[in-house]
Amino acid sequence: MDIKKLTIRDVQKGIKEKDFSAEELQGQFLDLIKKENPDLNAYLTIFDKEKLHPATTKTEVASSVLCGAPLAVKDNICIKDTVTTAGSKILENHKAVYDATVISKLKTAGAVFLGKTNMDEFAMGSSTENSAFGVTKNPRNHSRVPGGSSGGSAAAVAAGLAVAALGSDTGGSIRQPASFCGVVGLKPTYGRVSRHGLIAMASSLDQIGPITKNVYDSALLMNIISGTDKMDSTASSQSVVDFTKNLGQTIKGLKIAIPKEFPSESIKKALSKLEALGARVDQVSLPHTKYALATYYLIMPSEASSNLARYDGIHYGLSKNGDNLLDAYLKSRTKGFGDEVRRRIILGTFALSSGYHDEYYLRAQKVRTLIRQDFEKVFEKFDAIVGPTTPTTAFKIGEKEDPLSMYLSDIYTVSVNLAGLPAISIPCGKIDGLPIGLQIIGKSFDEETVLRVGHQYESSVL
Amino acid sequence: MIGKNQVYCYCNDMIAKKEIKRIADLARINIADKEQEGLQKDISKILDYVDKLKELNVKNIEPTTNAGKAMNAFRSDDPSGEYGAETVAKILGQAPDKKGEFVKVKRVI
Repeated sequence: MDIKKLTIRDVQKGIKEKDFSAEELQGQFLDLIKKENPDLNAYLTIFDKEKLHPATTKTEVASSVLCGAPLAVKDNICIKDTVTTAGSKILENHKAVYDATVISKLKTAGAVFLGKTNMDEFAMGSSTENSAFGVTKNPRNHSRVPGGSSGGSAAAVAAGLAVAALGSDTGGSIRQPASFCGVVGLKPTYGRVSRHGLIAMASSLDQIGPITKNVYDSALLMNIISGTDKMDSTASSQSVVDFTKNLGQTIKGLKIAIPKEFPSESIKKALSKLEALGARVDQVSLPHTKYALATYYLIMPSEASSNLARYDGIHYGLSKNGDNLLDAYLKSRTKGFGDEVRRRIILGTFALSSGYHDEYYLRAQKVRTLIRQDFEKVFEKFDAIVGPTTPTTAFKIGEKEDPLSMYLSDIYTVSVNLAGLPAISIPCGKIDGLPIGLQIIGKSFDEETVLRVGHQYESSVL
Repeated sequence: MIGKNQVYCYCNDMIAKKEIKRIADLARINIADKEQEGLQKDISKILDYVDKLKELNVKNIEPTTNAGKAMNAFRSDDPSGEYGAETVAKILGQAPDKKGEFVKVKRVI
């Protein structure tokens, strides 16, 4: 049995039919990770076998939903009593004191966690090169980045070092690495999944989501992690349907839009496939697309500058002594934060500061409304919007030294976060051996359609 | 002078180093002398890029602050439940300086 190829469904089948036990499987994964992770650097923390955080007893495993399926978790999601770094030196030795809501839910559903995965520091980046603990290699080509900021999670799934993983997405941080690594990555509708226990970057944009080998596993994990939460006042009370139920339903007659602002050369074959499946694909316009990146790179750093104010060396985390209080703040934060984090905090502080707030932050929030309205107009007539997830395939490690050129990797993903919509990236081919991703965007809370289109496409190319 | 109608202090078409220093101080971050020029270039380039938003007329547009629809979601302010004394002890245990049940800081005034 090649454990690298296992999906959650395979694990469920294997456990129920007693082909292997959950402990055997966990042991095999840990051995594999210990062998391959030193080169890949997908994991920052690998859990001891004894502390694999199973919430269920042996007998309960076989009757649980996930049957002990081994998952990897991005290191900005808190698992109680384990080191949670957010890829930063300022939290290098910080132990989470509680489980994120998604973790509690997954534990109850019978998941087992193998470890915490590498990421750009505080989710600021599109390549995992901004991690304070070294870059992760793309398993498809070790000279290339896995994408970011959930690069570790995407690489772990692509390399078969986990059956599935959790990531987080603020401007594309699940979808872009999924595209670069050739796996499936879903960003839910804003408010679909609780953010309690997710180390906050930009509170109006962040969402936790699954990174998986196929669409079915993504739907299954969504069933478990979705839902309202009294600990997160932005988590919606929208009812959670069974996202796996209608995956097999035909997409014949479904109206799919392709915005002319998203060049479709790389996904031509995928579009033909969707038409062959009976969907109607028509061109539309999202006229404010060209302003999305600028809008995002004002709103996100502004919110992040506020969220990262808590890392002050006083409550927890890295603490440097100073002559006085101000000196202590300056030393702790300067030492603890990497270059990109400091850059974005300064950008955000600037955009929010007196004299500039209206011209920068407030203006960006108004353009955000225009971007949201573009999508609403299209969704009056269409069921889904498709396009390429990224403008390029995975670039080389060290290739993008200029911050702005790195930001341009997010050009097709950020508008989705600004509008709060659900979107998935699924593998749809290769260019020069490197994976490309098809992005499918849905109406607010319509993960069902997004997953169904993805599943139908995926099944048709198997 | 920084005011409502002033964009930002220009110095050779880039945001002035002293302006970056002022902002960094607000954010409680130190910028070393050798980092200042690089940071000045990076921030200026990004601000030039985001300036494209000024092409749009946003006069009567409401800002979007919340991507979701949740409003005024309250819960009771109840400290009991799963986050009890053990959690409090763990949280306090992470503070570098404390006194009793308080996190200790240097003199503020």
